[in-house]
Amino acid sequence: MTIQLTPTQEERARAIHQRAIIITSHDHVPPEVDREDLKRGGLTTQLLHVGLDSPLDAPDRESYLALLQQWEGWCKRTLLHLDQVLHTIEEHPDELLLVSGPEDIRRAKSEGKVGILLGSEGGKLIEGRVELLRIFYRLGLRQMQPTWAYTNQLATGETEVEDETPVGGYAFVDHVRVREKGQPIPGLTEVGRAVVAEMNRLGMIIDVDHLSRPAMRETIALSTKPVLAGHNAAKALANRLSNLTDDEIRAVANKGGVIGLHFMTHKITGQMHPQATLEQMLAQIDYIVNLGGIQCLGLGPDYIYDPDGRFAKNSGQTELSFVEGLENSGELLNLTRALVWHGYDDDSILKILGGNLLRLFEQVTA
Amino acid sequence: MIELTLADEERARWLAQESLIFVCHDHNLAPEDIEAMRRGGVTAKQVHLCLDAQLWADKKVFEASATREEGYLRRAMVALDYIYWQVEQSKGRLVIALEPEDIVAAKANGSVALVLGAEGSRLLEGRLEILRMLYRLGLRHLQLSWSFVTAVGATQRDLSGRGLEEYGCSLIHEMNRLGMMVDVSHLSYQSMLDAMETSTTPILNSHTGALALNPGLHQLLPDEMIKAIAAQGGILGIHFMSILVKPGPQQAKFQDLMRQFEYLIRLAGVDHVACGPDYFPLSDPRMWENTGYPTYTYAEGVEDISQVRNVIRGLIALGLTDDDIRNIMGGNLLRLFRQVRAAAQTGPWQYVPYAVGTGACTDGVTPL
Repeated sequence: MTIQLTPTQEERARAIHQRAIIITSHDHVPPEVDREDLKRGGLTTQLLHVGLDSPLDAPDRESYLALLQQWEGWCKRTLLHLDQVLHTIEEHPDELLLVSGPEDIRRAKSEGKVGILLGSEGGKLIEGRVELLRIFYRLGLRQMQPTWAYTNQLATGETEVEDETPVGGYAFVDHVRVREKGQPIPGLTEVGRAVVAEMNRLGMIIDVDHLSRPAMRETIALSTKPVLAGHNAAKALANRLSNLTDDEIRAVANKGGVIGLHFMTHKITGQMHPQATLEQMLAQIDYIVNLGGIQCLGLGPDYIYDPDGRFAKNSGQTELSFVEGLENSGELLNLTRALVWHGYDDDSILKILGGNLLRLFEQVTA
Repeated sequence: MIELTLADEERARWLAQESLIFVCHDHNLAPEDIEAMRRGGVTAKQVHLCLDAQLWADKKVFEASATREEGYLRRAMVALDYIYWQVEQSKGRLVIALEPEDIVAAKANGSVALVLGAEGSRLLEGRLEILRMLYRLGLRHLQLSWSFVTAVGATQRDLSGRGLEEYGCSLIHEMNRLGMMVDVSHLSYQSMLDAMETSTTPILNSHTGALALNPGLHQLLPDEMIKAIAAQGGILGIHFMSILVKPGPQQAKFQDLMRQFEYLIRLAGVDHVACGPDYFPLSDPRMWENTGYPTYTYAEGVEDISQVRNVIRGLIALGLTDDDIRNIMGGNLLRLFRQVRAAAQTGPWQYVPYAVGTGACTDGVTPL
């Protein structure tokens, strides 16, 4: 079974892709590197992570591991990234724009520019202070995951698990801590709860990925607005630590939230090899849509910029791959083609490509 | 304090109302102090988000802060958030002055303006990127260093004749480009000279005075430095704290302060003098223990920001014209702010990250 479209279908796919507001909800490739790909892929807006609780650029594995456990200094790291990203956006006013609110996404579409929506994969950047959250909001941050995998000032991360889960091939496999029976895993900290409330007040997108399970449940319950699971997939089809159980998919969907479907092989199939296919991607799409409804699905590729391979080496993730045909932002049309081929109607495709994420952002900022 | 004729008292009242009062070098962020500005008819002050020492801490912590470089960025951001919060609560009565015209507008509609700055550059953690991010957040002033030695270059504690380091110069280049006030207070004299040579805009020495009137204090300036700063077009903010105004532990008389004004005006000219009171929150005595100052008073008649306009009465007694008085009370600082903003380069610029070996996570960090 391969994806072969009739000329009519090809034309329809192109037309939908051209007219769609296309938004991705998880990306690490900065626009100074990615600009041409973003345009080629027809993106309207990319949610770009200027913050990350993991040291992508640590010089070696030893310092990588040490920095993972370190809670200080991430405000500075994030400001350094942010400075360069803002510089790039300002250097290319005809091609890029900074997205501060949902109206900027519509403006990007009408002006033919790529919007950059700033986020952070992990909350270490605010160093445990709500004040710093507000300062980052002023600098343009509109999304944050309280944690990335590891426990920080805001919440317990997903590396603390309730039971023995197969986790092979993960960067942090050595760090997963299985709690003894009857020993509860903590959720959000006091500051973490204040941060959730403040993100609601400011109109920031709360992303529940990589939280410990209790923290995820607590965040979904506490938030007065819909939440995002910006780069995730169904555990039923791919048994990975971060992937969502059926209950979790329903919880996000019932809240009015969106799950940005991950583009990496292991998140789609559960295995590092062979490279995932578009058909397997469609199986994830069908599964999540069946469970949560068409309004709960978006796209969360998780493209990573690692030019000299140091992150892959330091983190032990040398075998990562993306779904065939979706290996960078420039290839997004292939997803639209697959959706057309698979029989999704125009309205559903528009929702998956970005309509749902735009709606989420509108609800969060309302 | 000082006796004026009835006519001069009337003139002082008129000038206090009519002048745009703008002072530099202040540490008070509390709402009560903003109210005191209102009460005293002060339109604007240049206020610090942070100081390069942990003065409001136990002695051990203070002493350790001589070499501890981390933590200032976070403290500055918390302070910044506190200011933004007040601005939001004030419904337009308090504004952050991003441009000189914001101060002019504040005077016109009776609001109060803050020019954001910092006493020392430790909050930058050695990176120009963070200077740029703080500029985006409203920072328009930076004093390169407090008296502790940092990567910027020699401070007043360094009597070896050493000047600014390359890092200090690159900070000035970037501040010039962004359009920020370069403050050289607390630097060594050679560093000040280096800063004046490096900066393309006039510099500020925000809280100082004449060494000739109070020998032995390296924060004050010898005659040749006063002249050099004036010749560069720079501004000298006169310190109001007793210990700096005159020798000895007693509270300075108003006349002692006016002697400083008279001396600097004579040497630097009326266009190069301003008020640099250095008001602190006085409630925490640990600061005074830490600095070893025997007294923590300000000169009589100017004991908090609500009394700054008394300086006008002193300047009248010195025989200055209305224009000169207005310039000293704020016009000179406003001119400096305008010069600095006019020199800002808004066009395309080269992206230059710069690192020095400070901070917990500098090693191995590139902007990407």
